[in-house]
Amino acid sequence: MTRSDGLTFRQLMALTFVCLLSPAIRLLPRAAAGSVGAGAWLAPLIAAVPAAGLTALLRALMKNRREGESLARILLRALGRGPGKAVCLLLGLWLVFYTGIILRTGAERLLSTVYVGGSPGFFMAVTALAALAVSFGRVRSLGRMGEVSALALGIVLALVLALSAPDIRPENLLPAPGPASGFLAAALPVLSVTAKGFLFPLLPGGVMRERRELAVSLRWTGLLLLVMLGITAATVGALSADVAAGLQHPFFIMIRNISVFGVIERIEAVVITLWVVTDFLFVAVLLRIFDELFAAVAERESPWPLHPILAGCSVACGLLAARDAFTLERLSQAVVPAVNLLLALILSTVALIVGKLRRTV
Amino acid sequence: MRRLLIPVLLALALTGCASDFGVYANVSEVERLRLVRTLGVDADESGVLLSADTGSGGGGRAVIWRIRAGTLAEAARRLEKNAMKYDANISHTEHVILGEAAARAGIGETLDYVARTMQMRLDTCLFVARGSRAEDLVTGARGEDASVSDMLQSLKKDAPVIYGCGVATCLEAAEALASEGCVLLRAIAPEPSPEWSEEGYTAVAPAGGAVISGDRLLGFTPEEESEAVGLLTGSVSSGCRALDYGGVPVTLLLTGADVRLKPVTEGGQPAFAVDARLRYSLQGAAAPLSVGDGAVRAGLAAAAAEEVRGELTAAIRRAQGFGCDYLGIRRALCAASPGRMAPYREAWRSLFPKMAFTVAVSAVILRTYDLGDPIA
Repeated sequence: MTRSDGLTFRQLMALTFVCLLSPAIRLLPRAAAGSVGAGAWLAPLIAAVPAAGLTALLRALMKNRREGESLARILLRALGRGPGKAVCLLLGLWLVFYTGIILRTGAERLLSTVYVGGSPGFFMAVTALAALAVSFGRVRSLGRMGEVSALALGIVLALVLALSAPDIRPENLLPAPGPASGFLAAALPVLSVTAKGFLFPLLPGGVMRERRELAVSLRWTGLLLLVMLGITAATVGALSADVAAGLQHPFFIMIRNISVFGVIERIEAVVITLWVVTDFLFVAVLLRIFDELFAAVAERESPWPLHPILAGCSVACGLLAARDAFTLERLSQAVVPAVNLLLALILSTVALIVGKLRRTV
Repeated sequence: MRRLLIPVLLALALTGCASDFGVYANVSEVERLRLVRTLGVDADESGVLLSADTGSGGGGRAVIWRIRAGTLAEAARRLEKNAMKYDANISHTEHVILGEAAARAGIGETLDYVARTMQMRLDTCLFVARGSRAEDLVTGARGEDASVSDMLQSLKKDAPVIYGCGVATCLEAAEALASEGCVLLRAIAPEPSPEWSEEGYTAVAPAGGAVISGDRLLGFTPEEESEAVGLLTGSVSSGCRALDYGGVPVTLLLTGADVRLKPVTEGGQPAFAVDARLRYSLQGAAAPLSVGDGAVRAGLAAAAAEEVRGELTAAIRRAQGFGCDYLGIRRALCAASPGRMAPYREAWRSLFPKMAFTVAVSAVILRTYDLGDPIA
């Protein structure tokens, strides 16, 4: 593989980290506060071991990959041509729907927090167009954007958490004794976020090999969990679990309340705008993945750019599947995370086992 | 070429600065812009009356609006869209005053509006106008160059030091209502301005606490009880106490307080004990007083402690009378002894009104500010 193809391992990790921040912020504080109350910040810690297990599972599947081979090709090799193509087709169809949901939730976030009275279709179309423009370029460019965005978002996030620290009250975070099932339920959204990491190796061009990939992956997983812990602790600590569980976007409402000595206020618009970057990058990644899945199923490159058509289908899917915020909430809070988690777990496990049995992985 | 075309198309659509072109233009001329600092909410049969004040910051004249509509959201929208001479902006609202009638009807609509709307913040302070309408305070409370917003800002800043207990924000109210089902908000009332230069003007004075249960106003606590409430809720940092010690009027300054609550058992029933340790400084005495004498100081401290013990007991009894733990006693007890309180978490609201309690107060006088016994 030439150095111009595919991603470096560091770029893969950075891109994954940036793109997973959006579902982390959307799902986690509210779901965890609703399940377990003040102990919501413990959810990422409880999910740490299973999240590490998922990471290790994916690394084991990709350990013996060939040069330039994406996860889609590995699945073909592991499962066989027929079943592998069926899986890639299923993944492709799911990703069309999932891309629509990402576009729809991003639009809804802007409508709920900034552009009151707007139309979701406009924001979905604009985000899809912007992602399309990027997706026509090299995969390596996506990776570089991931690295830059990871640094920028990391700085913004650190600043936000630091500014929110004075508003955190320890009594809001003292975990009350409760049933273990509540804590397990709070850990599920964390797991579903980290499980989405299985999508990114599907990008065409594969990932360059690096030494100690498992250790590096686990470090980035740990960083993501730490960020989720910080976000949850800041949100629940500032708002209390009861209030956070009742709000639609508790993290952004917490940011809305940040005031630096009464001089700097209302920074939420800047933060929300930066968060659009995560949605935009995620959609660009998914659009690029469509090409690779098509090539894996058809065993040839598509003669025309496929992802603009699928981008349009995604926008349509998102608008039709979630006509209002209530349907969207049911889909994005329960259905989509569960499907992503099951897909990641089942696909990785079955592919690894079958591949080892067939000695093709 | 196509890679350039898309960004160009996007740039054409996203011109936020032009009011006539661009999909989402949101422009206000700076000269017309006025930031609302105080909102007053009154309710009657015909709907909501929203009054708004900009304050007189920067030496300018305060601008006041009164808008009537069916709901608070509608009134606020009309305020921002139809303010006529100026463009009103509520994004920096610092205070919300609820008229007494509106508070009795329910504060839920106001809290929901503050949480739901993007313009407002949950750290907006919440007040209840005692015995008056919010509109009366917003339009009537003013001085030579001060409006209700300036007065409330001053009151908010001084509340923990001078008036005994702090001011609740919308977030604190929402938290308390969610966890305890009740909250104590700051009550305010109009009074003649105490400043000589402002004679004839009306000021805003603290008027005790407004007890909100569910989301409705139940009643008020007296202003004299504010320090006791502040001690129990941990929101007081200072305060003056006038004592009569053996016929000598004495002024003590509270400089610190440690108030601890712990669950106990009394006759096999759950109860709680309050232990307050207060630190005072002597600020003044109307007659010679030998404060150099340890016995005198101990006597002064004991007299102050006895007064405070009575006030704390009365404050807790009043909360029990309302059937509302707006003093946060459950929370304090859970923090002190979470395991012991675990069986009572769910049943607290029915237990609290009947619970026995003891109050123990000790005080010490630490200093007299460079003067021991009086000069004359």
